[in-house]
Amino acid sequence: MIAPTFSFDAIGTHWQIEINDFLSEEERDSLLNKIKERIESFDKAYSRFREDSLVTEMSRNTGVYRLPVDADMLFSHYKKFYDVTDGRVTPLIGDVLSDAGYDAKYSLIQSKPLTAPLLWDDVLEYQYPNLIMKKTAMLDFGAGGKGYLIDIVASLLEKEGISTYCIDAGGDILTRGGQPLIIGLEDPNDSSKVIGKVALSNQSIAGSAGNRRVWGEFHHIIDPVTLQSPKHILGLWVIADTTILADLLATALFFISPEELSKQFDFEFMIVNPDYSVITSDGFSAELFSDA
Amino acid sequence: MKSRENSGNSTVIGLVIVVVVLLIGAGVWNYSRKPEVTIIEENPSFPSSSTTTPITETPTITPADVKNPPVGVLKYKDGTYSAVGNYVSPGGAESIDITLVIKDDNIIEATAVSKAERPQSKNFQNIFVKNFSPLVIGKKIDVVNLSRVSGSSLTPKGFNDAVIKIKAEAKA
Repeated sequence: MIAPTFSFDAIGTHWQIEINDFLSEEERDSLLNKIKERIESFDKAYSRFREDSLVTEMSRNTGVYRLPVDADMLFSHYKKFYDVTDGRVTPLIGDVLSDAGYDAKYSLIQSKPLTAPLLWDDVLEYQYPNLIMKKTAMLDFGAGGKGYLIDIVASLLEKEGISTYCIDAGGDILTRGGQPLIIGLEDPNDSSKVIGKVALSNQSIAGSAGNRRVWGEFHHIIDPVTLQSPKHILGLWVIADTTILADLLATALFFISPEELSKQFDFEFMIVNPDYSVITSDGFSAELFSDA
Repeated sequence: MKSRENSGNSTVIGLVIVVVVLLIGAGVWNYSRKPEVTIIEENPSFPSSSTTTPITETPTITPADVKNPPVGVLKYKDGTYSAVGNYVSPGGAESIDITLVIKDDNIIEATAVSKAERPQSKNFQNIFVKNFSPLVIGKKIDVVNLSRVSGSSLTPKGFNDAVIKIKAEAKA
């Protein structure tokens, strides 16, 4: 019997899943397979970097699409964020990111002048389990997809009777049961350093920084209104009850004030400004390192 | 969930920062020493706002390059720079003192002293001053006891490969 740790690469990032429950070797191997298969099926539906994905198909042909069972949570979250942020968090940012160079081939060269993304109601008619693509568009779930996938893997573990575990996918982390984890907050300018630490217990943390995945004048977030990558925030972290929520909020905070978002969602946050001053919510109980 | 500041004021801080950036943009600062007036405007470490400060296109691919430019191409002289920011509040003229310590093109220390005369302005400036400093600093990961690290360093492999390729091409 062992308490296994799974370590593998998937959806372009590194995953580490620590399980504190004891499993037989057989159970362990079967569990790892189930996790990998689940991640693969998610990626095949929602990755705009895959030729064979559902969203790539949607970018080519209009029509009625039958969505996978996990789509409802994803679409309902995106719709709510779309409404709350006035369209600034939008799955329709895919074509903008792609035109800017963040395309399926990672050309990182802007291919054409950017234009504002299409509006939700002009393109999408969402009636679960169907999605009608009224126009073709490249949907991008980069703001919440990874977070949601972490939640999906967590519920898979729960279904297998596992109750104490931690899932870390490239720095977005969910933890259940056991002692609180001490999470280092990576210096947005130097990945060998941390600027503070925060305890995480039965919740999820997601981070976003404007100076990773940088090309030309862009980083991985582009504001649909200005068509530029926001540079007023160096990096930020969000703690929430689900990883999809933490992940989406970590993008939304680049566009909308924490005060506005807190009217709609429960979360704690920390924002690092470009001069390394920070703003935190009351409940973000981080220990920060400073000169003063 | 509430902001740690007393009364919903990260917006206010944001506003004040924007005001300060505007002031810089308008070039109304009087330097007590004499670097180019553009010193703050161009420094990548200073708060900038996409709406008020023109973002100069940086061919730079990693922040490390920004932090450690090759010797001899530093844009700014190391030193301590002080400036008074003057602006007109709805109640009349106000000012704030800002001091920056610059080393290797990075702002390593920044302090603000309120010089406001009106209660409202004093209030706003105090919020700004309080949150302007202290600034967080990075500590090496291996000297801090941690379970995990959260950040965005683990970027998609395809992306990183592309960056490496582009860098190689740029050098060729």
